[in-house]
This record gives sequence, C-alpha cells and structure tokens, in this order.
Amino acid sequence: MKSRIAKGIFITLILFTLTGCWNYRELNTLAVVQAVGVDRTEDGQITLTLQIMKPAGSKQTSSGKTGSDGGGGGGRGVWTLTSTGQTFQDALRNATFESDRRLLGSFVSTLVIGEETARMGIDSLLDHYSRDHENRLTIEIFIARGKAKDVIEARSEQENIPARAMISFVSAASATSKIRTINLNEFLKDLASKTNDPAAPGITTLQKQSEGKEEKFLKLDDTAVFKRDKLVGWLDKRETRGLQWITGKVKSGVIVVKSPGDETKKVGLEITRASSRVKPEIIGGRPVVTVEVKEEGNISEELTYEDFTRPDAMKELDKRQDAAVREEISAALKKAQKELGADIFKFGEAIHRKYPKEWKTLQKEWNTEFPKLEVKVEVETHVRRLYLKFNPEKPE
Amino acid sequence: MPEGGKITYKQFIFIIFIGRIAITITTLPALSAPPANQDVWLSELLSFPIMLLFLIPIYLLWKRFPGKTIIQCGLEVMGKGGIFVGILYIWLFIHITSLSLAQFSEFMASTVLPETPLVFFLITMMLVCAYAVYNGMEVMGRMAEIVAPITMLAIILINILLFRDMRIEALTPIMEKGFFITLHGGFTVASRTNELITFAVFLPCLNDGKKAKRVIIASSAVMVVFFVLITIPILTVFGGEEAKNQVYPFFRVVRMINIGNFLERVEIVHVAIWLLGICIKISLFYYLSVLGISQLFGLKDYKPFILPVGTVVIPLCIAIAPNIAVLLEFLSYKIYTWYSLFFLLLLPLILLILAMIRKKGMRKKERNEKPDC
Repeated sequence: MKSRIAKGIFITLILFTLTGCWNYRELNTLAVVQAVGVDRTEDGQITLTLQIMKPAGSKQTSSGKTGSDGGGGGGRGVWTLTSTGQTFQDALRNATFESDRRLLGSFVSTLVIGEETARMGIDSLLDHYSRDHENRLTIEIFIARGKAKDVIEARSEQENIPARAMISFVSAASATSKIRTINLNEFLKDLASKTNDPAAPGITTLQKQSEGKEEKFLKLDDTAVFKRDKLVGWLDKRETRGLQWITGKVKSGVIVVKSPGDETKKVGLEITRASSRVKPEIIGGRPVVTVEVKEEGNISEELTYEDFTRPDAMKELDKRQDAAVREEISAALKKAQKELGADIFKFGEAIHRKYPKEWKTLQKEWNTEFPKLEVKVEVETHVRRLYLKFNPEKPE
Repeated sequence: MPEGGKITYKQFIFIIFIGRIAITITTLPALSAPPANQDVWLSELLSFPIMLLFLIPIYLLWKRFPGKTIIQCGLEVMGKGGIFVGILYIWLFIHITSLSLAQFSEFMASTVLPETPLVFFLITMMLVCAYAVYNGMEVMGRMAEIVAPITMLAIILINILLFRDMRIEALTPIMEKGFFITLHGGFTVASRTNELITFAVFLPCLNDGKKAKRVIIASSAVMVVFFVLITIPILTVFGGEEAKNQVYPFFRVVRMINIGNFLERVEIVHVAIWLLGICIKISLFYYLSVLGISQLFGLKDYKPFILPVGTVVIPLCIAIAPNIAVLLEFLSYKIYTWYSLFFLLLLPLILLILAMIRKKGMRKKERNEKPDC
C-alpha cells in the first residue's frame, strides 16, 4: 500500500517534467532560410543575403487573389534581407537585427557565391556551413555572375520560392547536359583531395517585363572553374558539355551537326545514352590519360531532305556526331589545361588510383604537369534510330 | 560465477558487439590512425586475427581458473600483490565508464542538443545505467538481445540507403602505403577494442563453458564485420581525405541520405541506435567496476557500491574531458592503443606466466576431468 502511494506521487511528479522540451522553437517563431548569398565587401567583411520563406505568401495560388497578399512583390513566397559581419556566422547572426524571428538554417537548399568573392577564395566561407550541426552537406552551390545579392533577390516566374527554382535547375540540368552541378560535399571533397579542382554552375539574372513591372529573373549561365578554392575562369556551354562528357555526367541533350547532304542545313541528334572512362597510363615515365567516351543517339530533327534511311548516309551522320563530341571534349580540355590550369576532370585522382607509387612524385609537380598532360580522346558514337518518321515532307 | 547470473552465448556476443559499435558509430578514431587513407577498412579486417591473438592470455587464464574473474585470478596468483592488479582493473573500468559517458555527452552537445547543460546528460544517463547495473548482468544481457538486432538492422539499412551516393572507386588504390602500415592499423584497431577485456570477467558467467571459444571467435567476427560496414559508407561518400576531417563521420554520412527528396533527414535513427548502444556500454563497464570492487574486498553483493561509484564517475567524466580536444587526444591511436593494450594483453600475460611458474590453478589433466564448472 505504502509503495503504491509512493509510486503514485512519483508518477504525478514526472508529469510536470514531461510537458515538452524546454528550449523548443515553434515554427511560428522561426524564419526558415531557403537560400544564402555570400559577397565580400571592400573592407573584407562578409555580406549575406538571405532568402526567407514567408509562410502566408508561399501558398498563394497563381490566380492571385485580390491583392490580399500585400502589394510589393506580387505574392512572392519569400522576402530577402542583407546583413554584414566579420565572418559568415557573425553576419548570419547579425541578420536577426532585421528579422524578428530566429533564423533556421537547416533548410537552406542553395548557396550562392558572388563572382568577385569567389575570385578571392571561398574555403573560409564554406567552413561554418560544413561545421555547424544544423546544416547538411547536400546543399547546392552556385556562382553568381556579379553579386550574389542580385541573384538571391531575383524572382522566378514559376516558383514562389526562387531557391526551389534553383534546385529544379539542378535536376533539369540533364536536359542539355550543359550545366555542371556540385553540392557542398563534392566541393569539399575536391578541395580535400589536393589536386582535384571544383567546377560549379554559374547563375545570373535577366531583366524582364512581368505584370507591367521590370523585374529580375533567374537564369543559368556558364560554368565557373576553380583553381583550388579560387575562381579562375568560366567554361561556356559547349565546353561545359565537354567536361560532362569526360566525367561521364552526360545523360541527355541534343547534338546539332551539319547535314551530310547540305552543309548549310542542320540535323539534330538526341543523346540517349552516354558513358565515359578515364584510363591513365605511364609511358616512358610520363603520364598519359586516355578518355574513352561512348555515346548513342537518335535522329530527332532533320532540316534537310537527305534520305537517312540509307545506311551510308547514317554512317556519314555518325562520323559527324563523333566529330562534334570530340570537338566539345577538346574545347573543354584546351580551356582547362592551357588557359586555366585547373584539373576539373579529376585526372590526378585517376592517376593516383592506378599508380600510387608514381603519384607521390607527380603530385608535387601536378600544377606544372597538368597543363602539359597528354590526353588521348577516343570517341565511339552510334546513330541508332529515326524515331517515328522516315523523311521530312518536301514542299515541291 | 561472480554474482549468480548467467548469460547465454548469444547475449554475450551481443553485449560485446554493442559496446564496440556504440563508439564506432560516433567518433571512429580509426580513420586518422595509420594508414589514415582509404585502406582503413582493410586494417579493420586485419584486426580480426590480431584480436584473437590478444585474447589468448585471457582465454588460457580462464582455462586455468574457470569460474574466476581476472580480479579473483590476480588475488589467487599473486596473493597480496593481486590487490594492486585488482585496483588497476577497477580503475580501468571506472575510467572507461567515464570515457564513454564523456563521449556520450560530447556527442549530444555537439550534434543534437547543444544548449542542454552537460550535467543533465550525465546524471540522467547515470541513473538509467545504475538501474541496469542494479538489476544485474542477466538483465543487461537480455537488453542487449533486443537492442543489438535493431542496431545491426539499422546499420545495414543505412548502407542500403547510401548505396547510391557511394563511389566504390574511392577505396582504390588498395594498400597504398604498403602491407605493414595497414597491418599496423589493424593492430591499433584491435588493441583499442577494450571490450575484449570483458571476456576476462564475463567468461565465467557463460552458461555453457564449452562455447567459450565460439563466443570469442564469433563476437570478434561480428564486431569486425559491422566495423567495416560502418567504415565503407564513410570512405566512399566522403573519400579518405575528407573522412578524416569529420568529428562524427557516421552521423555525417547518415545525414547525406536523400532518396528522391522524400526519404531524408533520418539521422535521428542514428542517434536512437546510438543512445541504446552507449547506454549498454556504460552499464557494462559500470557493472564491471562495482563487481570488481566487491570481489576485491571479497564481498558477496556488489549493490552497495553502485551509488558511490556513480558519484565518482560523473565528476571524473567532467575532469577527463574539459573540452573535446583533450578527450580526442587521449582517445587517439598514439595514447589509447598502448593504454588499452597494457590491460588487454600485458597484465593477463603476466598473471598467466606467474600462474605457470607458481603452478597455481588447474593444469591440463585436471581440466579434462572437470570440463565444466
């Protein structure tokens, strides 16, 4: 009996301690940050531009109900604020001067870094983000052409939350394979590996008329190439696909070649599958890398009246496709090796894996070795199908 | 038998497994021990035969003194000098309890609950563990029987979910620094496995003495297999260089799980299995310390020591880990390997040799007559 009373008292007491977490943070006291833009000011401080979700605005529908969502921005799901500080985290915390809610960083999906900032080196900017316990390493990195602030403040026509549009850009990159994407983990891995150099997608803004107002919209741009953690140059769309061919990231896309029958007209070939292998060798004490690319495509568009039902015409087309792929690859190689000196293809890593002993000496001179590295390109392409039609209708 | 409790060989394997894995899924110092590159998993595989080698003195000692723990062996072999050996072991058990508790509180404070006061973690955890110890080894064995399969399943599941992000070529070149450095890695991994010392106390508690050999081999094998299953995702997702840079690599790698933007943010699974595991590990060494004290003084009951030892462990835990750098330095391969090896190999070996010289304990013939005790 006595113990039962004691138990009863104990259970009642426990009740008071189980009311909930004592440092809880409810959703309505939080500001959910979606994207972060980083710029350096002239005096070496860091300016962050934060894209913060507006809970009410983000559910607004496309019909735009009678301006109930407030004037400015026309129903944008986000608002942005800018704060400055000595370091990344300092700036992040200083943002609370403007935001009455506490910032929640664990849902950040994109990190945008300004071009000038990237040229000065970004390793120091990534540290807080990869150290802090709230954050994940899966966020996507973009390099802004110009200031990151402009990109964060830009709008997206389709999404209320522009950060979400940027994530969709990443997943839609395979449509052309002309966009190189990279997340924080891959970026840090490249930096840690001593010879790999990262490449990140560039992003820019576009002035457009929207609902009678002049506004800025997001647009993907060329690929930013880093030498260690410093931005050194840009690969254009063609060179980017060259990079994607070598690293085996091409999934789909269109190759446009000149028609064999009429040199002024074009034929479009859709890439259906592609793969690549990087084979390093040491020949006479010098490293040689062979890049093997295999590709298959279908005729998806024909602007001439050449008859591709003939096997020899198909073969000729095949040759041109081969040359087009080869040309993209050599453009990327030339730019990265001769102009930028950045090993974005991870050739150093490939040599390391196969020749660990030789690599020990090679690694020290990799900066001077890489531009001189002999790269053999072997391309094997096939044009397989015509899809659903033999030839275009000829208007006589 | 130390306290009348008996555990089955399955529970035995599970207790040892949980104790080892609980630490591995948090700090994993093996990553920065030699060879400190993508060959760490090979070192872990190589640690299996080394672990068995290390266990030979403890096994032979048990064969000589069946039914006696290492502290009782010490008393029997060395007489008064055995008290010193006993004190050393009790210190080790208390020390490992505090180390595990420190690792627990440091992990909680740096990953999931950074604002909660440390003392809160320490006291609540110690209360739970004290209750487990109070109930004795059989209860702990049964708890391990429930927790260990969950842990194993979770680790396998995490491997499957991460399979998409793994780049297997990150494991090449194999044996970059040569075989002997990899073997050295295996040596450090094996000697850090301080759970092996529990054999010296727990073998007498096994309900079927004939299965002792099987327990030793099976528990080492299970440990190594899951050790590798934990290391491979870390190495293949982060790469050898970046993996070294992570304080809590497995936690970090679980955070990388993202299946179609749908199955993500599952790291709390890791925290859950880890909490269960560390709870068993702390209880295990807590139990060993109080049991050791009662045996050293020749008492029948260990329960009066639970509270005093608990009150020693908590301040000790704060003292040995004033910050994480101090804790990690002690746990690094440079110090902890030798510290652990002293108790795991050297002391049992000295006891064994002394027993042989002084002809104490059962000899081979007698053993054959009385196979079970």
